[in-house]
Amino acid sequence: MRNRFVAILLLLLFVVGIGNAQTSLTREQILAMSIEELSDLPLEDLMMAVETLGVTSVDELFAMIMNKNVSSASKVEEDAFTSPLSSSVLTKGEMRTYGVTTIEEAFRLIPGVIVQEKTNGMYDVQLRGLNNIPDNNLLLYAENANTLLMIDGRVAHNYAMGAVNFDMLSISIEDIERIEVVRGASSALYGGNAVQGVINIITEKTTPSSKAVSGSIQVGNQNSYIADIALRKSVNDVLSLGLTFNTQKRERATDKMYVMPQQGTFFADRTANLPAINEAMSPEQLGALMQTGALRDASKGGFYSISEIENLMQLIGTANTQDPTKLEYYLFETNMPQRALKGKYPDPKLARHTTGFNGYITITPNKDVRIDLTGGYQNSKAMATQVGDSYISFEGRTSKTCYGNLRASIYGLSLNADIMTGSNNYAVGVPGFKVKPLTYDLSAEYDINIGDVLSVRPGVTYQYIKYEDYTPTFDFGSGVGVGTQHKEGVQELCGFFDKEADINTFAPSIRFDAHLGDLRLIAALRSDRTSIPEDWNTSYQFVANYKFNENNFIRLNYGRANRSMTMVNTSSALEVERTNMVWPNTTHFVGNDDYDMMNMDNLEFGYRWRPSNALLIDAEAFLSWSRNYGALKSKSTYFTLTKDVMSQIINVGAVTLQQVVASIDRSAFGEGPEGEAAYTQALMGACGGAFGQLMASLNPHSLFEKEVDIQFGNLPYKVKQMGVSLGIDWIVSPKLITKFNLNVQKTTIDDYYAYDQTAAISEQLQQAGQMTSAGLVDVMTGYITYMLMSSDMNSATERYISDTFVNPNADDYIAASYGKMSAEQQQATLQAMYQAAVMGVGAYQDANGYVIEKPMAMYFGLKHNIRMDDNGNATLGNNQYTQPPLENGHKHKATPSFYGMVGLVYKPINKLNISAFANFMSEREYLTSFGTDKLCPRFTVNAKVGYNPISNIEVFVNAHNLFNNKKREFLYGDVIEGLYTFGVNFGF
Amino acid sequence: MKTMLSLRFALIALFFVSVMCNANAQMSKYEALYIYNFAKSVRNVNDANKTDLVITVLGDLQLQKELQSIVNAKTSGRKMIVKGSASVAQLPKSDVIVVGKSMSAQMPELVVNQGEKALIVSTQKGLCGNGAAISLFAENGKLTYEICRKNIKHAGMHVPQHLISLGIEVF
Repeated sequence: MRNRFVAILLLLLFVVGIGNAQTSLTREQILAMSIEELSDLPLEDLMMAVETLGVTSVDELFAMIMNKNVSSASKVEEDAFTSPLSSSVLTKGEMRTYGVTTIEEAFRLIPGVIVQEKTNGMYDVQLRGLNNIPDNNLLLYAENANTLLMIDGRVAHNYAMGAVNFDMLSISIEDIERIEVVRGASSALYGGNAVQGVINIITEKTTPSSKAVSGSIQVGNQNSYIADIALRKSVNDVLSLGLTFNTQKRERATDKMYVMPQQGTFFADRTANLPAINEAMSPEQLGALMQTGALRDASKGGFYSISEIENLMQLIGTANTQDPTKLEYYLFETNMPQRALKGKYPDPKLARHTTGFNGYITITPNKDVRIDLTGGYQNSKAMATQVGDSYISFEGRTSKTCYGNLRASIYGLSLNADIMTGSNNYAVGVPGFKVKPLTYDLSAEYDINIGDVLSVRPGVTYQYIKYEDYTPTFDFGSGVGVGTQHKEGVQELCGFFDKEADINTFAPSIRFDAHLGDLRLIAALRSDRTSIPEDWNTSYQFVANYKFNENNFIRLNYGRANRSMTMVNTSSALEVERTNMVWPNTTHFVGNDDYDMMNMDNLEFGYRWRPSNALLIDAEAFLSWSRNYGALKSKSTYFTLTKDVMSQIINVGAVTLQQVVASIDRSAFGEGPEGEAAYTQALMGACGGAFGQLMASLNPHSLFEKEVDIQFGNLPYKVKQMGVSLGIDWIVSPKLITKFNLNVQKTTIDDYYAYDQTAAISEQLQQAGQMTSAGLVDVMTGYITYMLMSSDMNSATERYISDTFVNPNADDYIAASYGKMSAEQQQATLQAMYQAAVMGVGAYQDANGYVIEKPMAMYFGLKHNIRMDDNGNATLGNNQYTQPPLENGHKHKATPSFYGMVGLVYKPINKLNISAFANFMSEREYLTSFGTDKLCPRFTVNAKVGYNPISNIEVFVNAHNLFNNKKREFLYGDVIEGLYTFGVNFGF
Repeated sequence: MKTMLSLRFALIALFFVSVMCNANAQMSKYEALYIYNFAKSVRNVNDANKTDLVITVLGDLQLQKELQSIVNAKTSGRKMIVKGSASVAQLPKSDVIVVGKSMSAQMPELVVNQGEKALIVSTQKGLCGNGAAISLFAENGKLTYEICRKNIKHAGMHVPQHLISLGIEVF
């Protein structure tokens, strides 16, 4: 494929050749002409003369840079200089001039955007940061979840996991007219997820002056090729058409995968202070094992080949990982079969392979009516940051989706309808992450102008989101899907949502825009009613602008914005079995339909200054407060006391009891009530001793299944962020244009603590274990008493099991009666209930008249929080978590404290164009559940040299990371190496 | 690392201390030549005897200056008067109004107030749809223009056919 592209490039160069525009006047003759002579030329000759002299790309850039419009700041197209919000516009011309190779890379030219490359061509893009909150958790939380991405107003968001996935877009640079970035809380305009701001990609609309064929093709090292092409035709004054195609494939510089540090999660915690390790292996043997295969330095992590990792997994897979006396018990959380690793990484060198088609139809019957109809399809495979808790930082991600979008403007009424469907797999080879999304949005807004001063824009939006997947059980340990659904003969594995989950959102909105001379005031309000959680989330925005003159403009705005729901958080219903793996035995991912959405209040001040037509300065300062962050937490951890295991224990108890009874001679205690009492007391004493020994031998951790409920829950964090940004566009000379932006910011968290899921589960297990032991003692004590009170001991065991292991539904009783009692009344009720149960009186009626059919089962349910299912299996859970002390002023280091870029475009001669931009970023530090990853400060230079043999063609060489500055840019990401390409841009 | 970063930033700062000159002069000169050429051939349909032509440049001093230089250099031909204005409200009576790039957002107001009285020429692409008769812009190394017959007629003006055929006609 790459060779094919090279051939096409060479053919284009050969066919076109190198030449100059033909004119009857030479350049020297034109330069020698006076202004009067030039003004006397006929228009046709004048046009050719100007073309001969050359309208430089610098001139075109000047026109683009100083002459931009923006529509996303107010939903009305207006001059960017007087845009009411902090906003930036980047045109396709600038993107092509600076040689950016992807849409994501283009954001490096925009103030306030943090762009980090994970691997060749795969980026994380964030407005102002606030990622990795909460920290000490999944890598997923390090990704962008606070910026809304739209294409022509159509939202492109991953509602399943909560992120922005640029590799899943169908468009490429050739589709774009401009990118608009609005910084700051913008939910009042656009709804959820516009917390730190909005990115709106405006596609190019076909006009009579559009090029019929345009595009770009380039190839380079790391087996990279990038191509996009557009065909555009303005059929007549009513109808215009466009068709685009893009594809790119890039490889990573390495085929090794980053294995994350094991210390702190699975290795060090379990080996500390464990005598079994010292007994099982000498320090020398332990050290030797550490050097074996991939475990050269498990505490730090590192890059290992697939075969190295597989060798280690084979070593572990053959060991007994259920035996806590063996070292392998503590090594690696997962021991997935080898076939799973190959399935996860069929092509470890692939960084990105994306393809997209888009069609555009524009209908403009008159100047008051415009209809844009677009549709497209994308197919992508990419290496992305893992979204679960795998020990390897990257996972494959695939997507095949199609979309349709209708936008209409009809006499002031704006209508929008879009639909998207397809299939996404967020973690290839890992069950639970394959989904089929279906989303559609409908919105309508109308402009009402009240005189020349006030305009009012009421609107309404409806959004429906559905994700489908398959039956929700998978066994990680054995690698077998349990209850999988077969589709067309192909076995499909499970997903998070128990077949399907959906959410709908209804949002009315209104916006007031008043122009009072040079003062402009804006107020916007929007409220989103979601079906899950059932709640209204209100966002608002207040803006004041003042235009001193054509060259000085200030703005002040205050707003509130919120994130939208994420389906994994609200609608999870996934059960994961973990046979032959360390605890827990089963993990339940449970949705939470009642959590608070993250929201932010944001205050901004901005000043734009245009000292001349050649210089534009934009400065802004902001302050934000955000709250209601959350994470997947261990809601409760519990033991499952299965009916079968309990029955076995009780039957052992029955044998023990018979032995004790047989060992005590009744006749030795005399007749009558005193003799009976003495006999009973002796029996109780003997049974107590025997049963005590029996109970001491039982270990709940080995007897019973351990299960964990994982559910999204809020954290108390209060996050404050402040910062300043400065952007400068400067036309230094007719041959030189420069661009610069610098962003300095600081992020702190109050009420902070590092939530540790492993510690939470450990604590809950320990508590549950103690409760289970206490519960078992109680069960057996009840059994002894029950048996001694029974006239028929042979059938009593069976009756006791039946009476104990049924489903009494304690929750109903608590709500109806028990929960309304005082603590003393509850104690008395429990005692009376127990007495009634062991006396075998049948149904029990409490003081409030509530009738309980199975008092023994209800007793255990209330006293030990044991819940029973319809199969007679009981669960004993604990949700205790000792929260560490809260810390104020905790410095958040994942967001860089300063970042920015400097760029220039230099045109020494008419046909030659040299551009370069350097982007820089301070150090960052990410804390995850795998450990801390520190990323060094970064300064990367990119350059492009282009030559126009004719005006329609530019051949170029492009260097991304020109000096091959080998550093990692993102959390556990690849070392980024230089990418060098050559190619051609064309437009006819 | 810190030393290297400081050096790099110092270089960038030095880079910005460079000679500043009128970067827009060349582009404005070309635009002025085109506009002068358009103005030469514009005729007022309702006042065929009118020979003088008033051209007002809205919000672009550089362009106004270049246009004035051209007009000053002419010793024969149609008399043209070049004026300037900083706002739509202060526009003098004009036959041709040239809209500077920074004033493009004023197009709707301008068209309402002046659209039937003057030929509107913009220096930004795509404004024929907003009422401009001619939109001048640079693209791919050429200075070209979009032209709209309907808007020319609305202004009560007439331009020769060759002006339309040399540009990109929009409807």
